[in-house]
Amino acid sequence: MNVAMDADSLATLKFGIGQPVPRKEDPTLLQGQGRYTDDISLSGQLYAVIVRSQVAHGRILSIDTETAAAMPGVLGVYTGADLVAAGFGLMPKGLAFKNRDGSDMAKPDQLPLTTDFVRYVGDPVAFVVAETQMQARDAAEAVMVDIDPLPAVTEPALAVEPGAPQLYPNVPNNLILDYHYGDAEGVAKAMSAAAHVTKLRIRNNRIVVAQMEPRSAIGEYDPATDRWTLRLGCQGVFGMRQMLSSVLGAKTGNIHVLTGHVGGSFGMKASLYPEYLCALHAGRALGKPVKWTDERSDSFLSDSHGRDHDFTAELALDEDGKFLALRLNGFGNVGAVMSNSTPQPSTLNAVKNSIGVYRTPLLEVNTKIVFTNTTPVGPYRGAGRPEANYYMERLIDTAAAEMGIDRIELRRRNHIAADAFPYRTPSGNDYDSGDFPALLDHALALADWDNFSTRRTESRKRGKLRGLGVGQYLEVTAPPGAEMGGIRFEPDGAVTIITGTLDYGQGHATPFAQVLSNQLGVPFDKIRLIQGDSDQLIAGGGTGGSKSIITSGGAIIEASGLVIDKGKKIAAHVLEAAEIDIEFSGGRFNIAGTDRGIGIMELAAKLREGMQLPPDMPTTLDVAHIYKGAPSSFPNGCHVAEVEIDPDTGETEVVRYSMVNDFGVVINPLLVEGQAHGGIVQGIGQALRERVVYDEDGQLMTGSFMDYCLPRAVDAPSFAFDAHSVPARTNLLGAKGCGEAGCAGALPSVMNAVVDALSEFGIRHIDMPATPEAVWAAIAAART
Amino acid sequence: MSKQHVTTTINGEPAEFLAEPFMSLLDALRDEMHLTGSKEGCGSGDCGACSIIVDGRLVCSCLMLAVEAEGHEIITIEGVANGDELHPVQRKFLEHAALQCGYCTPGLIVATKALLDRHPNPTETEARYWLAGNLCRCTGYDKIIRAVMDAAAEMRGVTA
Amino acid sequence: MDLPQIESVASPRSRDSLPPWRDDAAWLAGGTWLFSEPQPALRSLVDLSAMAWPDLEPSASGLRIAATCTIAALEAFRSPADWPAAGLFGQCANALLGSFKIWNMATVGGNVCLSLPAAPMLALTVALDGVAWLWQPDGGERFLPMADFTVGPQRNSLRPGELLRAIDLPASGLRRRAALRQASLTTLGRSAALLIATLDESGGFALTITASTIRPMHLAWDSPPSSDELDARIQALLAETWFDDVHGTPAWRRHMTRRLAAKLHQELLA
Repeated sequence: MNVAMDADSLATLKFGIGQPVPRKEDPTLLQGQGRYTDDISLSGQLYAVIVRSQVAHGRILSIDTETAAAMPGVLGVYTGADLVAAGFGLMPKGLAFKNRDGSDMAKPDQLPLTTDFVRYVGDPVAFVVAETQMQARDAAEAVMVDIDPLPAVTEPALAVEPGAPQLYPNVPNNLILDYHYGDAEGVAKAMSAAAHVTKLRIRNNRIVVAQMEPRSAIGEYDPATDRWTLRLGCQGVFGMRQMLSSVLGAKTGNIHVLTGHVGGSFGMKASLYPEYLCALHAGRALGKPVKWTDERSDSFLSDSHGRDHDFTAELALDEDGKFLALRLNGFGNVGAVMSNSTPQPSTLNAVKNSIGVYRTPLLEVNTKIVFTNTTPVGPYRGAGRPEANYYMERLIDTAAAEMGIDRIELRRRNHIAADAFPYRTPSGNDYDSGDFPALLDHALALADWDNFSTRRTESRKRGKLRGLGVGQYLEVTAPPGAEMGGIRFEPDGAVTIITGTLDYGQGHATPFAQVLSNQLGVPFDKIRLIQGDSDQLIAGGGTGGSKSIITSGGAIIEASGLVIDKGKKIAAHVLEAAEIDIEFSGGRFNIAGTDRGIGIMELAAKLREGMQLPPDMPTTLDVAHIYKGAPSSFPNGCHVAEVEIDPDTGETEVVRYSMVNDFGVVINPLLVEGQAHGGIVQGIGQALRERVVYDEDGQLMTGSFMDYCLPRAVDAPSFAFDAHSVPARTNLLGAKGCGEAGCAGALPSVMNAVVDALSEFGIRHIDMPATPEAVWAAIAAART
Repeated sequence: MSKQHVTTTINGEPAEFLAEPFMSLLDALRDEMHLTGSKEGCGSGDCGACSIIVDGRLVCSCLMLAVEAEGHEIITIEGVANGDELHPVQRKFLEHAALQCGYCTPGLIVATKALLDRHPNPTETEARYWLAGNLCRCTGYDKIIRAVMDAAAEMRGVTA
Repeated sequence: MDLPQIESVASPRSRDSLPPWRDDAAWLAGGTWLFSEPQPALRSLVDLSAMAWPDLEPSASGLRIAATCTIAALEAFRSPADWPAAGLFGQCANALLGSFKIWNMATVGGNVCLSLPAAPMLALTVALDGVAWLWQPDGGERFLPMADFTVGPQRNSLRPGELLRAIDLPASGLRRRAALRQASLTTLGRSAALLIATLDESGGFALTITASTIRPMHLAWDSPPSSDELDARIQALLAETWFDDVHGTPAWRRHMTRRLAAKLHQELLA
C-alpha cells in the first residue's frame, strides 16, 4: 500500500501543494483567446451537416441522396452503407457485465450510422459535406429519408413488457442486462426479521447534460502517411484513439487525436460518437479536413443524456434504528444505443456507492438495463454515484420519520467509526480513511443547525415553509488505471508535463504544476502541460470518475523521482562527487554537507548545451513513465441545504447551503471549491428544475433552453464551504477526487430539505424535479 | 445570393466584411473577422455566450443579422482588455477562479462590463438578475458573483 | 442562428417602398424570435427598422406604440403622472423570457404578432384596451381591438400581407390603476400565467388572463366584483381554455390563475 505524503512536510511555498494558486489558462480564456474545436479553421476545410431521424422508431425504407448531391457546393452525401463499404466496423459495445444467471449481457451490433432501423429522434442516418456550412445545411434538408414508422417506447418499465416495441432483433424485451449483486437470501431474511423496513420508489430523473460548448470535430486523412487526424473535444485522447482504432480498423499509431480547450463535458464527451466517424470518412473520401459542429437544437438529441434510473429502495433497521440491510430494485434506461459506460452507473456504481458512510452489513442490487426509443444515456457527473447516495439518504430521512428517531441521530447511530479503518463494505470496497461523525458535526455547526427553528419561524412570518436537509455522501472514485507521467525539459527553459488525463474546466495545468514544482523545485511559471496530443502519450486513462489528481498527480510524483535519480547521477559527474553524496532539495542537487551544488534548471540547460558524459550515464533529465495507478479513493462530505417553499404556488428556493468535504490532501483549494460549487448547482438543477419530457411518440418536448430549465445566476445560492480533510492512505498525494462530489451532496440535502418543509402536510417523499407544480400538486393531494 | 458589404466599428477600430443576407452577426465576427472569442452556445438567445455590446447596449449577436451591424459600434470580448492589461472584471475573475471551462466566460465578461458601465454599485441580487441571461454549467455562479461584486468595488475605488 | 434559406433582405424606408407581399416573406423587427428558430419556409425578410417609425408617440388621446418599438424603449418611457397604468410597461418587460439583452432587440410588434400564449406585450395591450393599426397590402388600413387580435396559440387575425404598424393605447386605459402578477415554473422561465387587472375611476374592473390560457381572456365588470365573483368567473372558463405544455399543466395553471387573480383583487380593491 502506498504511503501518503505527510501533510506537514509538504512545502508551503506560494505555488506549492495546498496553495490557492490562480489558473494558468485563465488570462487566455478571459480574453476570448481560447481554442475550442469550432474556433479552429484549417486551410481548405469543408463542412459536414448530419441528417437525423425525425421519428423515434422505424424501418428505413430508402435514403435518397441524389437531389442533395447535385446541390451547389456539395461534395458528398453519405449514409451508413458508405461507412460499411469503407471498412468501418462496429461501435464500442459498453462494458462486459454478466447477467444474474452468469450469461453475458446482450451486446447488439451498433454501426456508426444505422442502415436498417432508426431508434430515436436524432438518430443519425446520413451526412452531407459541402464547401460552406450553409450549402451543407441546405442540402441536408434535401436528403429524403423514407421511414416506415413503428410504435415507440420511452419508459423502461414498459419496454420490458411482452408486446412492447423491440429495438434490436436479438435483445428480447429490450433487456440488455439483468443485473444482480449481493446476498439475496441474507437480505430477504434480514428484511423479514427487521423491526422496521422503509421502502421508497425513487426516480432519478433524466438529465440533459447541457455543457455550454456543443460537440464539434474536424476529421482528416493523409494518404502519404496513412494517418487519420481527429480534432475534437473529449475526455482523453489516448482512450479516444483506442476506440477509433477499433472502428476504423487502423493501428493506433496511424491515428492522431488532438484536443485543445473543451467547453464542459461532465462525462458526456467521453464517448465515441458517430459524427466523428462521419467527419473522418469524409476527410478521407474528399482529401480535405471536414469540420462538423453540432447545433444546440441537435445537441439536445445527440449528446448522451444522464441518469434516468427508476428504483425501489428498501432499508431494514432494528428497533434501535441500526441498519441491517439495503436492497435496490429497479431500471436503468440506456436509451436507444449503448454508450461506452453502459451499464455501469445503475449497476456496479449503485453497488459501490449506496452504502456510503454507514455500517450496513447486507446489500443487494437488482437492476434491469433496458433499451428505449430515447437519446442514448451516458455518464453524467457522478455516473451513478450521486444516484446511489441519494437512495440511502432519502431512506434514512424517511426511516427516521417513520420510526420517530431524529434523522441526525439515526445517522450517528450507523456511522462507520473513525477508528474502523480500513473498513471492508459489503460492496467490496476497502475504505481507507475518514472521520464521518466529526465531519457531520462540523457540517451542522457550519450550517448553524441549532438555530434553524428561529429561521423557520421568520420564514413563516413571510408565509413561507422552511425545510432543512442533510446529505452525507461518500463516493467511490473510479479505480485509477495506468497513467503517463512525462516530464520534458524544453529548449526554451520550460518544463512540460505530459499526461493523459484531460480537463474540460477542472484546470489541471495549475495543480499538476504545483505538484511538479513541489517535487522538483521547478519554477511554477515555467511549467506547461500537454494533455491533448495522442502522439505524445504512452498511456492515458482520461478524465472521469474523479481520479485525475490521483493518477496524473501520482504519475508526476513517480516521474519526478526518476528525474531526481537521473539528475543525481549527472550532477555527481558535474560536481565531481560520488552519486551517493548527492542530495536533492529545494530544486538543487547538493553535495551533502557542503554548499556546492547545481540547480535542476541549470543542469537541464547544461545538458542542452551539450556535455561530455560517460557512456552509461543518462543524457537527459527527461522521463516518460507509466504510473500503474492506485486504488479508488473515497471522497466524502456532508452538505446541508435550507429551502423556502411558498405553499400556495409550490415555488421552492434554496436559501442557504453549507458543506464540509473530506477531499483528503487538497492541492489547490481555490479550484476544489469551484468544483464543489458547480456540482451542487447541477444537483440543484436536477432536484428543482430540470425535466426531460418525451411524448408517447418519442418526441423530445424539452429540446431547447427555453423548455429545459438550467439553473441561472438567480437560482443559485452562495455557499459556505469548509474542509475536513483526512489524508487518503492509498495514493501518493493523499488526495481524494473532488470533481463529482457536489452532485452527490446536493441531491439529498436539497430534497431532504424539501420533504422536511412539506412534512407538516404528512408528505414523506416527492420525486425530482420538485418544480412548483409538483410541490403544489403534492400539497394539494396531501390536503384531500 | 449576393454578399453585402458591411462597414462597422469593432473594438474601436473600423472594420468591414462581406456578409450574406442570412448570416448572423455572431458568424460574421467568428468567420469573417476571425474574432472567435464570442461563442455560439445555443443560437437562440438563451445562453448569452455570444454577448456583445452594440452602441452601448448588451445584445445577443446570434440574434442579429450581420448586415444590421452597418454603421454601429461593436465591442466584443477581444476589446475588453486594454492591450495587455486585463480589465478589472477580468482580473477579478482570475483572482476568484470564476471560470472553469471558459466557454461562457467571454459572454459573462461582456455582460458584466455592460452592467457595471451602467450600474456601478449593484447589489448581489441585482448582479444575479442582470447576469441571469448568461448560462454557466461549470461554476455554480458563486465565484462569478463574488468576482463581479469585487470588481464593482474596485472600479468604484473602494476596498471591498 | 443563421437562416440559410433567406435570399434577400429588403430595407424599405416608407410605405410606398414596401415590396409586394410574398407568402415566403416575413416582417423583421427585432428578430429575436425569427433568428432563434429555423425558418425553412422563409425566403425573404423585410427589415422594418429603416421605416424609422417613432417608437412612442404620446398625445392627449393616448399613446401610439410603433410595432418596431423595442421592449427596452417601452420600459424606459417616462409617462405623465396621470397615466398610472404605464407602470405596467416595466413589469411586462420583466416578464419577457431572458434578460435585458433580449429587451434591447425584441419589439412590441414582434411579441404581439408571434401570439404565443405567454406574450407580455399581448397581455399589456389587451388589458389597456389597445387597438392595432394594420396596413393592408392593397394600400388600405384597418383598426382591430387587441382583444380580438389573437385567436389561439401562435394564431392571430392578421390576413396575409398585413403589417402591424402600431398599437394605440387610449388615454382612458392609461388613466386606470393597474397591477400585474405572473408565475412560471422557473424564476425566469416562460410564464405559466400572467394576469393584469385594471380599475378605472368609475369602478370598472377588468382582468386579462394570458399564458395560462390559449389566448388572452378579457373579463370585465362595470362595477368591482367581489373576490368570490371573480373566482367564480375564472372557474367558469371552459376546460379547453387552459393551456397545456411543459411549462405547466392545466390544473396548475388554473390554480395559479385563481391565486394571482385573488392577489390582484386584493391589491386594487381592498
